[in-house]
Amino acid sequence: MNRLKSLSLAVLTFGVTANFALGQASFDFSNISGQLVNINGTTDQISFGANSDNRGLKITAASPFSGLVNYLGSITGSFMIGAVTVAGPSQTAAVLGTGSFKIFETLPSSVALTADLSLVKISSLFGGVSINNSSVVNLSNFQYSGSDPNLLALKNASLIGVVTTSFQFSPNRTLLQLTANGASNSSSYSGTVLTQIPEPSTYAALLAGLTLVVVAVRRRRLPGA
Amino acid sequence: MKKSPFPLFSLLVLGASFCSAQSPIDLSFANLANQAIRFDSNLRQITFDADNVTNRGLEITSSNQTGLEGLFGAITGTFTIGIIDNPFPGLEIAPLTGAGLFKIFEPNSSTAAFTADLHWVDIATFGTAGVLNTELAVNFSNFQYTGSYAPLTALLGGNLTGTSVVSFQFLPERSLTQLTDSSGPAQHSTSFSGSVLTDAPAVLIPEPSAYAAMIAGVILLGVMWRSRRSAAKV
Repeated sequence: MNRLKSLSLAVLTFGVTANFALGQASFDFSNISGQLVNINGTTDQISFGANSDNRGLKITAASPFSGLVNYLGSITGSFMIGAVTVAGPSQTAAVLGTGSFKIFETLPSSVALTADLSLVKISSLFGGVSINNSSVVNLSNFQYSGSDPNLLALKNASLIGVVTTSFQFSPNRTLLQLTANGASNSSSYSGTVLTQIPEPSTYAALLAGLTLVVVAVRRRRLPGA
Repeated sequence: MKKSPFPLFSLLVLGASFCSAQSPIDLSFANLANQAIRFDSNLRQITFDADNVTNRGLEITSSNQTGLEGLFGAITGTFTIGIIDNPFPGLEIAPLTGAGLFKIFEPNSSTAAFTADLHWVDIATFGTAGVLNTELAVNFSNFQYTGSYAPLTALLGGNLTGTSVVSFQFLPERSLTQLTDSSGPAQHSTSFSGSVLTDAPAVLIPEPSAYAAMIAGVILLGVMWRSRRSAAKV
């Protein structure tokens, strides 16, 4: 039995190791001039503006791939705000629909790194509004077919990701006000992206942990063990 | 001789352009590349970055006042986070003390600027997001501008006031307690955006085409006047 306890402890150790061995990349962004987040109260839709070059946002900080700063991107797709729930000063609603988060190669190229995007949830509190403020994984399927070294580095560090966006209104706009029939509101916005990809050591640790579990189970089943 | 209505019309259009007032000026802004909102966890202080050479930290990305979009600005000053309250699950809020300036620079200038005295009143965090000036208190005052750039002159509006709110976000999420935890990272920084609503009424600033219409109108008025004088002499 002591051996079984030791094995269980080993598996637990490997599990914890796996959780902390994830590689990460992160970057911040803000909207560019004239391109805003728009909420149409009649259709309950959220959209993000983009210019004639399809650019709507700029990366303003990045780690560890600092070469991504000043790259332009966009958020595309059709997103619809669901029923609003009021809890204290906060108002929250699910956001349905899918789109893409894009980061373009430098102009005039139209080639971009893309990721499938869902917005998950929108919340308003005081003058602020945030999208996906529970940090749910909402970026997946990262694709890039170009040769830009900064985008390649990001692509190679991105299997899944989280993007959260914040914006604000003066005067204050609650979610119920933003989704009222006839309402049309726009705002500047900022956001942060965190991407992750498991490192090879993580896969090795998980494999070793699973092997140990199988061995432990087999030993328990052997007569007289 | 039948009078042409064009000269009078063009003058009326121009007059209306100069004189008419619209709704209060609003504008929104966002940080520039490499310029962020910065939290010093040891000092419990908030500052906004600005470029060392250009003094710029933000860009006006939209406004109902013609000529303001695309201008650069900055938020100066140091703001200290007070005692944190937790009035609602997931929400942390604290007063902010300290004063600074909100600046919007003239085009192609890093010194000549519209300025407003600024205080942020308070700060709140909920989930990944954070907000400055949660109750949208009037926090802009003492508007100053001595230049001649018309859109910035319009902002003066008779030395009025304004309300600004700023939002930001962190991944992983950072509560106010974490942002002021001196045993954690010394600094946290991220992108931000903001909105301003002033008491100053937006002013229609004539486009070049309006000036062209005015010149054409004055010329036509002159021609008509000369024609009438010539006819009277004959």
